[in-house]
Amino acid sequence: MRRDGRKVLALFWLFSFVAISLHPSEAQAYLDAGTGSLIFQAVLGGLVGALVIVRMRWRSLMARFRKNATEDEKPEMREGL
Amino acid sequence: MRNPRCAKASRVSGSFRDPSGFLYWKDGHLFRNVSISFREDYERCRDSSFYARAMDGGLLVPHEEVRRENGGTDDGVFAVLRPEVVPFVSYPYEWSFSQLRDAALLTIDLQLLALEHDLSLKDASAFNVQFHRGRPIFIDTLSFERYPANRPWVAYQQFCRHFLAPLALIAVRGPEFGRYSRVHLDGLPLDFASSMLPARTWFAPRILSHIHLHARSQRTHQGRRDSAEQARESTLSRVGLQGLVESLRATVRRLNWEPSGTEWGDYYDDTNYSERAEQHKHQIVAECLEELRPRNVWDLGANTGRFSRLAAQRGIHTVAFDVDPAAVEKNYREMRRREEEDLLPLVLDLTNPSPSIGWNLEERMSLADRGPADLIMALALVHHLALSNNVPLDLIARNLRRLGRFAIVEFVPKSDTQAQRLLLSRKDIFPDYDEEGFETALRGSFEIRRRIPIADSQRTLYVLQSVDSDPRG
Repeated sequence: MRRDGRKVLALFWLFSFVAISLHPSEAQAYLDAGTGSLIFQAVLGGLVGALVIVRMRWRSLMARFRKNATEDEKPEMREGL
Repeated sequence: MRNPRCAKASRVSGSFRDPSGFLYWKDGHLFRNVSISFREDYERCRDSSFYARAMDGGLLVPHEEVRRENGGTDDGVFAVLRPEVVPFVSYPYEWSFSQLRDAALLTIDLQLLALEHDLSLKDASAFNVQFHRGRPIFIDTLSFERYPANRPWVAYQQFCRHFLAPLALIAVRGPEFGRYSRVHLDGLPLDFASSMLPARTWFAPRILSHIHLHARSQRTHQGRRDSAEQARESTLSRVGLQGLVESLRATVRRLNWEPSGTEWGDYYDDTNYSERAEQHKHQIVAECLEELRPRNVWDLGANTGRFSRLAAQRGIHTVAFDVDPAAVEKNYREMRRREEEDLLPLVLDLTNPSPSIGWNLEERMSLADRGPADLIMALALVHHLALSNNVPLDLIARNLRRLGRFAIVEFVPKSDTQAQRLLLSRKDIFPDYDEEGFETALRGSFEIRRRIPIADSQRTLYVLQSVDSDPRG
């Protein structure tokens, strides 16, 4: 059990090290971006992302309705003919 | 302030905040250093053809690389660039509404182009933009860094302060808000802008987001340690960033301001000039331009640029200054419509012209520091300064001499109806205000080359040469 625990810990540190190394350097971004501005963008980005998903779902829903409508019409048309 | 171009090698005083490099003059030429620390970003900008596309598209000021190191260097410089020089530097507080708007759209378009090349703007200051050949152009070549994946845009706040806030305020509250950027050199604080915008803007979703809620978020999180950590970890997907930037673009595009109904906006429709007088004045000014062949012209009190164009259409770089933002706006719109390349309309109050400001009072140049001009045109101007602003004629002469080597000045006597209009609402305390008084006031500043009464009017045009300037034909 203890050996597994040590393995997990080692993996954790390795992962953290890799994650931090891969984190893009912001050395060249000399500007103070503003704490509130950074957080706000994350919020906005999340909202926009959610809106995009909602819009996609809505469109596919509408498309399905239209498809159902045309399927209903077809038998009538055949009768008309 | 000494003209920096004369010094052997001197840093451009406004170029110091960005460690990626800086601008400097050497032996009369302009250069930009690229630091070693910026090497990888610079190489991506160049090798991904981003620079080429931005320059070919007229978005980024063209430059040539004059030196590049392949190994290490002692002085920390990786490359030296030689950018094209903009003949007259202007600042956001001198621009009209549409000039600021066009500068904002340019910045956005460059950010969108940069993202295509996996790059991103690391700042979005309005001072990154100049007007060159009649169009806005981005001059800070080193503003583009490798796009930090999934990070929020570091320049978002600066864009909102420098561009969005003043544009929204001008559109909704009036052009006076264009002046505030002279005081707030890093853009208008968002809480200030939020408080000055009317309540109805809370119902415009984009303004609500980018200004009001943005300001709220800043206020909430300011100076808090837990917020700082949250900010460090906040993410924004690339799609989200694209959406954010496009939202800013849409917001800016929808803002509008119509220049009419101000004091001087409808001036030309309301003058007392007969057609003959008007034509004679045009003719005299055109003859002067042919005779003097100035390298550049400053038209003071240019209104919508009717006389400025006499110079600009001859290929002479002309700056058309006026105190009225509506007149400058009309002039600029007309300039863009005609695609004129040698005209630059700017807002300027001669009784309180742009001073030297910023760090050490050297960061942004005063009007005088950007001169002197070869030729000043002061048409239908002096009577406003003398009769409405109480500036004595000799001080006016001295001021004009400081600004230009030659001058065309129109003297409007009290017998003229325009001058009478100025005196209507006030006491006439100007006993020496006549042609003789004017010519006396010129002594010590100018020599009179020519004196031409304008046909069918009371006015006189003077062609002046400043004392101690080179006699040129």
